[in-house]
Amino acid sequence: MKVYLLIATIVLHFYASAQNSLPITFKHVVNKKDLLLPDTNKIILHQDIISIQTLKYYVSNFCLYQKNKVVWQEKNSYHLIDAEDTASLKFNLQLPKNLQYDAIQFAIGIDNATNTRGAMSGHLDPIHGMYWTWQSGYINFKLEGTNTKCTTPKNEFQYHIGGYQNPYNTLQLVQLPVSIKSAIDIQLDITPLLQSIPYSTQARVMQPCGAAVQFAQLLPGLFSIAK
Amino acid sequence: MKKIIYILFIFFVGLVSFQSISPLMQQPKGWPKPQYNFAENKLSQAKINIGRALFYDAILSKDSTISCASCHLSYTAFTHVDHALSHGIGDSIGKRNSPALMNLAWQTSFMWDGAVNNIEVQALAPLHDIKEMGENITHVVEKLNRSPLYQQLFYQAYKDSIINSQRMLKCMAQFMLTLVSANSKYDKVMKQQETFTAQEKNGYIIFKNNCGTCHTEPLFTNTKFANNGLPIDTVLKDFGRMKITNNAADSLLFKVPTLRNIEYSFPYMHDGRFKKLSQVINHYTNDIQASATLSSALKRPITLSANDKVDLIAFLLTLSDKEFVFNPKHQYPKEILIPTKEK
Repeated sequence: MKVYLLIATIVLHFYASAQNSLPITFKHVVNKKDLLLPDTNKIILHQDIISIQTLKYYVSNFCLYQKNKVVWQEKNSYHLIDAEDTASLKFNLQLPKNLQYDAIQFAIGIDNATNTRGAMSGHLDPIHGMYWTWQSGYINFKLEGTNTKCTTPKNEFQYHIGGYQNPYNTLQLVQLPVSIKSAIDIQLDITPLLQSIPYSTQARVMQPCGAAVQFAQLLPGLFSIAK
Repeated sequence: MKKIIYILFIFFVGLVSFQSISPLMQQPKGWPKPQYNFAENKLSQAKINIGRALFYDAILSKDSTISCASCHLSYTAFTHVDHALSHGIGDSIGKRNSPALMNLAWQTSFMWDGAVNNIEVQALAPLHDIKEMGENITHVVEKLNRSPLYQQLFYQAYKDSIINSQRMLKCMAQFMLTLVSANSKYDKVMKQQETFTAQEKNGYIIFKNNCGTCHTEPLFTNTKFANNGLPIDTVLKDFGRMKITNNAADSLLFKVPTLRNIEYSFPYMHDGRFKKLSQVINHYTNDIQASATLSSALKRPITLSANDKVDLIAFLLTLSDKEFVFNPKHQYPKEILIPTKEK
């Protein structure tokens, strides 16, 4: 019995050492500055004075490509990114050793199948406030704050972008070219998003709808590999 | 030898699970396969017990006044008898009639508008609704983790001390899934154990000719959504499924409810506007409101004589399942929630 255990340990050891950890870090930028929450600094964009209170979103289904072919996929690939929680911004992908790849792909949000699978745990636990309760489904992307342009009480805006069924499917894919490095830093620059939101007419989007889809479609273009 | 016994055991387990959903839940004869994936949430008595305790425990509500059973009473097929609209915390009134709960493993969506896509996440809706329980799941999980009773129940079921929302919700689903009503007089007649009276028999024919398109046997619902020609309530302004899909084609569509145990589940319709079955039938014969989304099954007028209506009601009463509504396993779990000290 002990011999088996020893062999298993050795095999496991070799298996583990045949894996490479690839650290992924998400960075958030606004107006060419790092966005750190909670943030008391006001963002001034044109005539708008903006403050961000919440930036939270799911990234899922990480995979690596080599010459347009998938060479690796992460299992149970669901990560909740919360700009306020620095621990959530970093995680490791476990890759086989000597894997060749030239692009990384992930989804912003949670796929259709997972949305209908029932009660989930970990990052998908509804306690994280990223699940709608009155109507089943994950909030893929949450942005909350204030803008002097909003005519709402306290100038608040709330964008809870979700919806997993057509025609209001808000899941978005991001594919970015990468070179083989010891770590990948992915940057989300929300400046173009803050500039294109129609605050005065739509300070809130909190259900699956056409406006949510339009909002979601802006997101992939905001991600890049940080230099 | 041990291996052979093991293989035989697996084979035997396979056979049993082929015939029934679980030793704890039988598949009624002649019914379709359940829609719920029991492989992902294997029934266990300890987990059903947790679900049942939670169903009857006001710990789920903000001010500890409202439990699921406040609006879903076992004696009335798990609906809120005599309440057109139910009241939650602080006497808040919701906008829909509390649906009867039964045979939920055969449903693919929940609520009158299908807002909920899996029974495991169903409880989140009333739990968070400010007019129902006004709580939030994070706080409820904290409360359960502080409760010696639930610490003990979850330990018995899972052999560790983790209480999280997933376990809580899956246990609640287990209790709700085991609420199976399949032993009414109608079922006994189908199994040729009993016979319909002449009146019930005529009622059954009328039912099949006029109601069976949507209230399909054996579940007595096709589990779809339909506009059944009710004029809109100008106060509630409830457009049903359209709120969920944002699609005008779904305006005024509501879930087709099961007719099983209809004797107990009054008042009727999504807003509980009818108190009596005769009013429901008169609606279908006299008061269908035409609109763009009216169910195609109701475009042809339904004509029934006074005798036909009486016979139809006689048939509908054969869908009452006394064994289901008086099943002690469905009732308040006194032995769990108020444990007596050992003598």
